[in-house]
Amino acid sequence: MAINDVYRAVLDFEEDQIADLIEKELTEGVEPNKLLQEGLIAAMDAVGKAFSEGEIFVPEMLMAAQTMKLGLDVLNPRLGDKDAQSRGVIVIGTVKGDLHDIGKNLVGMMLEGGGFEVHDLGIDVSPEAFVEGVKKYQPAILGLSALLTTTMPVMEETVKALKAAGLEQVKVMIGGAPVTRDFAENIGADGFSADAPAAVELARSLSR
Amino acid sequence: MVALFSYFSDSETETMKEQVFRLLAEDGVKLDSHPQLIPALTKAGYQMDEASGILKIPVDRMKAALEEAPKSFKLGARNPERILQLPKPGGGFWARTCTGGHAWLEPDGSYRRVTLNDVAKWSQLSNALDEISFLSFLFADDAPVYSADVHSMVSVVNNTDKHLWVQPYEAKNVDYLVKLGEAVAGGAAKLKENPVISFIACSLTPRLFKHMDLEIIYKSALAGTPIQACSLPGAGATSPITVPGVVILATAEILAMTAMAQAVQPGTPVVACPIIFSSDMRSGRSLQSSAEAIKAGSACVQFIKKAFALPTHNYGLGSDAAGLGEQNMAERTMLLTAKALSGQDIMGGAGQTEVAVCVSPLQLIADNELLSMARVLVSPIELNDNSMATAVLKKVEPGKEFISQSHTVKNCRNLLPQKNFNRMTMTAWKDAGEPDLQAALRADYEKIMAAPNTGAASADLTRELDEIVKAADAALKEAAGK
Ligand code: B12
Repeated sequence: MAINDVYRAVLDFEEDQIADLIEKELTEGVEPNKLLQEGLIAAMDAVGKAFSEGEIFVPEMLMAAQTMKLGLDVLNPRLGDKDAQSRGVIVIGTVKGDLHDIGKNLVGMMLEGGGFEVHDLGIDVSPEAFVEGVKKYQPAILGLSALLTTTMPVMEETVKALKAAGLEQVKVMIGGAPVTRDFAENIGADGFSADAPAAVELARSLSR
Repeated sequence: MVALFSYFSDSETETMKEQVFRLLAEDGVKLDSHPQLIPALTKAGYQMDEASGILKIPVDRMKAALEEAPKSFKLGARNPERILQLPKPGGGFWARTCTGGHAWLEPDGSYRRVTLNDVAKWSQLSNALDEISFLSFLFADDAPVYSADVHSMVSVVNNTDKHLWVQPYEAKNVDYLVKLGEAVAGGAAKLKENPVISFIACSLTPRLFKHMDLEIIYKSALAGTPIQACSLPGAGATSPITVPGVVILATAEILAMTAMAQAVQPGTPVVACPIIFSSDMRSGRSLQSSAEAIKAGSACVQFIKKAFALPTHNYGLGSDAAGLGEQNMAERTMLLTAKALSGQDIMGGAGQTEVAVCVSPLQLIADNELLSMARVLVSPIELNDNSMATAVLKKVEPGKEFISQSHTVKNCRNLLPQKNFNRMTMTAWKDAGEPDLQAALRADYEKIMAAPNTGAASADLTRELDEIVKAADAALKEAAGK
């Protein structure tokens, strides 16, 4: 019943209340992991489903994700390492020379909503800066965005730079208007997606 | 003049105008560093906060810059008959092809990347279509990435004698693009007299200007080429989602570019381009032909014309659909109608679909036809004895006909001939083997492409352009570290 309040708070974007609700549950002795799984993650799965069905819109989905994040901030210190990292870390950015970020931001926010811990390196990110970011945040996945044909080669350079730095275990997923599945295969990236919901699915399959 | 529709009343226009001025004066815009443009601004009396990069534009200064910006000027062309006066004398609009598209929809339906050869064919086709007033270049996949804009521009100017709007891909490339323009015009001084090219400069909405765009404003103002000041907000993503909100933001960014251009060179012509997208709330995609994008774009064009009298340019064609089907035609027709009635001076996006990513030569021919219809729609109606049919109305008795009257004969060739749209009955259409629009467009395409290209550059000009490309390739390749 009370976990249901947390679940509902995410669905109703109760950003002001989520922290208090979780604190209350914790003081009443509810398991942190139970709150995470049956409250926050279950709510975001429901939001994701409603979004895929066209019932929930992007800004609403993002509000729900933000609410979930505020809840996670309270829960995280109480969770064991394994639970906190449940869906893995992702580093994302728009490649060097490219300033387009609407799509990248959307993908990043949706990934957060999908339960991932996302570190956004911003726009105009060089291969070296991506390598640095990967070393710093130790992600399972690196997401690259490019909207210009002229900047697509930087994606390949980044894949190579990761290899050269001995970080080939990190999965690379890419996207952006001129990017194709074939291109992803050619440059040795691990996945491509044409939109943000598909990016969440892709990240889930890559992190499995 | 025809009565164009308008969303904002005079007093609403004033209210909006105040909001725009207030945003610029109180919050301003943020500029990347630029070694010449920033000092030019300071010299012109603007106060820029060096540390934050914020440029606030006091109302008086903004008004003074708007005074300096010409309200009427020309977009030049290699062929003097194809020089375009803005606003268009007698009313109506000019039209421009898609810029930057990278996907090509072949007449046979296959879909692939654009090549330089496609750009050449595209330019020849655009040159031949009478409603297409000027061109822009596409993104060619087989050009070197570091000089793709230079190569694509040459493929265009080798095949057209119309005006070209230039969309640079890198700050370093701007000088070479100017040089190409000078070659086409016949030298730097001639380019000022007859600006055969104009440049796109864009804000990075909201209220940010990156180095490349500052470089474009600076170099274009010095070269004497008009600046097409573009704001591309995604309503609900990079700008407010509401119509007045996005209109205020886009206009403020365009005015900021106007001020910068005047600071570099007073009198620099500026075309206001509020290229407003809506964001699809189910996917986040940027849309150019949703009802909201059409409405916000129309409202912004009307507002800028009324409030600041600058010529306007925005999408007038294009669709969010993949392919050339019904949705595509419906969206672009609604878009064009709204923009034509809004008094927009330039209709951009001819030939494009899939939100400016894909171009189709068949669609370009169809757009030529749509443009002719819109031209008729907004052309003014004159009142005189002939148009009011004074004599013939008296002459024809009740219950008789007009079809054989000399008044009808005299005027019947003023009607718009339709080339490819079909007006058969269902029975006649079925008897004719159900010819579809695409088939008619394909036949037209082949006919146009088989004819000699009257806009082709001379061998001398082509050689001169090639030299510039060689120099650009060498320098830009090195700069790109390839
Ligand atoms: C808005 C826009 C701009 C804005 C960008 C604002 C911003 N903050 O991002 C501004 C005006 C600044 C701009 C500038 C330029 N642009 Co621009 N721009 C666009 C436009 C119209 C929409 C892009 C967009 O935001 N779409 C909405 C988002 C949600 O979609 P998306 O980015 O595709 O992202 C989705 C997927 O691709 C995918 N995805 C994206 N990233 C990732 C990453 C991962 C990891 C994954 C898995 C998935 C994924 O999921 C996203 C969500 O669904 C496109 C046209 C188009 N149809 O794409 C042109 C377009 C991309 N631009 C283009 C060009 C040429 C430019 C400029 C060079 C020219 C110029 N002077 O204007 C400059 C370049 C500046 C630079 N150095 O980057 C061309 C590119 C041509 C090419 N193939 O190279 C396009 C196609 C338009 C055109 N026909 O000219 N642009």
